[in-house]
Amino acid sequence: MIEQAMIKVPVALRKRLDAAPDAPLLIATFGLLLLMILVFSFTAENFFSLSVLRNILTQTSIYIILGVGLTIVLTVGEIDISMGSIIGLAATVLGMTVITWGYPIGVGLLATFIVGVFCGFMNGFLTAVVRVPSIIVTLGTLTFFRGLAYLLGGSTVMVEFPPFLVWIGSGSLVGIPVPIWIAFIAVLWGYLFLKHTRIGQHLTAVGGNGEAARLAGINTRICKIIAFLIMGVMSALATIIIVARMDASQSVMGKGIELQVLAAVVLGGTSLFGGRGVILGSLLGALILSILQTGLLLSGVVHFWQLIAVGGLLIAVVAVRISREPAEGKT
Amino acid sequence: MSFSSKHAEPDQPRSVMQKLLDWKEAYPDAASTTATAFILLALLAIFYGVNERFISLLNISIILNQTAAYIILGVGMTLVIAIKGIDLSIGSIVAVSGMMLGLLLVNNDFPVWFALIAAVAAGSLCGVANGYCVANLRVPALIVTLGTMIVFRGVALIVLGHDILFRYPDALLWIARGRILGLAPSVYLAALVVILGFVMLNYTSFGKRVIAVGGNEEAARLSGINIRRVKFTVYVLMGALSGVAAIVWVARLNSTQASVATGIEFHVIALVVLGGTSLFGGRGLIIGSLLGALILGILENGLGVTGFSSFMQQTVLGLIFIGVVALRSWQARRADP
Repeated sequence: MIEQAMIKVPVALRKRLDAAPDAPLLIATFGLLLLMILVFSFTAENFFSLSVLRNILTQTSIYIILGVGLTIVLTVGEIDISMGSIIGLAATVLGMTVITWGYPIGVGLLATFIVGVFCGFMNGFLTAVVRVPSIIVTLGTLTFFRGLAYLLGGSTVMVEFPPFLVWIGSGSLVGIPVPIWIAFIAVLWGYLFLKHTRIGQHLTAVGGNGEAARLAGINTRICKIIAFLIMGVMSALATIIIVARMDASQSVMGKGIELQVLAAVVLGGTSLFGGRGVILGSLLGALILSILQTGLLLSGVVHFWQLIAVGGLLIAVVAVRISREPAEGKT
Repeated sequence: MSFSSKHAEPDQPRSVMQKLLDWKEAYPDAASTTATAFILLALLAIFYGVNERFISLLNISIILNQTAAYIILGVGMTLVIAIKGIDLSIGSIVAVSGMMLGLLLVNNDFPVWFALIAAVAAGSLCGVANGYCVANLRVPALIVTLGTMIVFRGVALIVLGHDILFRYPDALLWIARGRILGLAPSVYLAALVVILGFVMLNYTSFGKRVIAVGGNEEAARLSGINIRRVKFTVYVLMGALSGVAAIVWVARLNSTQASVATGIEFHVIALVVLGGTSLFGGRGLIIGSLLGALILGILENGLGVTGFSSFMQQTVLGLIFIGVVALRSWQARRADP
């Protein structure tokens, strides 16, 4: 439908669309989001209230931040399913430095980022230098990082964080909750990084055709390591928000989150095979998933049916997308 | 070496080395399967050194019984990975098949044979859904099975809620608790699945087609193989085997609930990879997966017997997995740079 419409649009607009190849996809995804909001505004009471919107956005900020990281990893042609365990390990370290050992919150936040960078580097090194397929690497580190988190933190819950951290979770700036600001900055940064920096272009090239990129003089190993480092840093950022929102940290945090994030990114149109990363699509994908879940909840649908709706939507959207581009991606 | 062995005089006695090399050519998987077997033996030796009770008839029969479901699922996953696919939904399929068993045997009094058929049929039906989406709608397998993993679990949750169904009839429990020559019937069932899987993959035309589709899909299509049918069949087989695994699982635990076997897919993929099957398709090592499942079972049991905490177990499992896979990819690059 979009392509038919494109034939009729004026040449000037057509040129702009050619300059932004992701635009039709983004418009379609945005249409799906609007449709969903429209449906739920009829079925769910109070769906349009400001507090519901704030809640949805705040909850989703974690998935948006992780989605930016995963989009970049998928763009370079790799995958990371260990982010939930990175969150568990980082949350444990944050809790131990601040609560158990009583260091100031600045040290705790620094330690969280160090954990993220360390985990991301380990994934990147094993993938790019040892050259084990990333799905296997992160399958292993999924277990390994979670094991480390359990070893460090056991099953204790650490609570009562300093006011600054609590402010990150539940405070607001100019009337907008802090997590939304952080997610906004992450998306903006991710978009500019991927589209408008040289490294971002290199990452896309490596994901599109690794051999061609290598022959063009791009250091593919460094590119892959950078992508995993970004994923690690984004996981650390998400950890801080999760811990701050709950005012508690525990080693089981983030368990199973990778599937939700992967679903959001795929809904947004990023290719699983590399070479195409749509940061804004991942933002929309994360919002679609949250709105679907919250909307069904407010419409009084039992939680279990929500699962079926989420899974069905994921398969349906990708099936429609693939049926529309039969020339590419025959797998 | 192969050149000289081919042109050797017929009456000239061939050296042991040449025979070995011929054997290696005829069975290219033998080398990596042997390597996996060595890892298994090394683990056995280590655990025996730490605790002599580890290698007793009783403990070995316990390990085999615990591993039976993994072995059955591992055979199916080997086929799926051989066609360059993946199936994340197997844990949820086990839950759906287990739900079927519970509904028919605990909530109603259906005969056991009927319930067994129904459980495998339910698993196959889930496999049909996966196969249709992958083969006919051409949605990437990772996405399809990520979606159906959530959907099938949702079905089990809608039907069972948070109920736990238990008190199964003795005839079902016999599958995991009976003894034939000292081993549980589930172990023989797993052995049967391994043998059938091995013969099918290596000695039937369907097996050849599976390898062809996984190795080079375009070439397979051009040589007249019905790719869709091969993919579809493999996912249905995976579903059916998940049903069989659910039977073994439920019989061992004597209970079903909707959350059963959550997260099992990662263990099963890990054991297939440990066994040497490549995630890039075109190669399937059934015996390797059997050994991989045993390694996993021995690690879990052995770390428990030798007194590691369950926290430590997970860390060690992850480390060993990464180490073995890194070593294997390093080896592969040295052999074929």
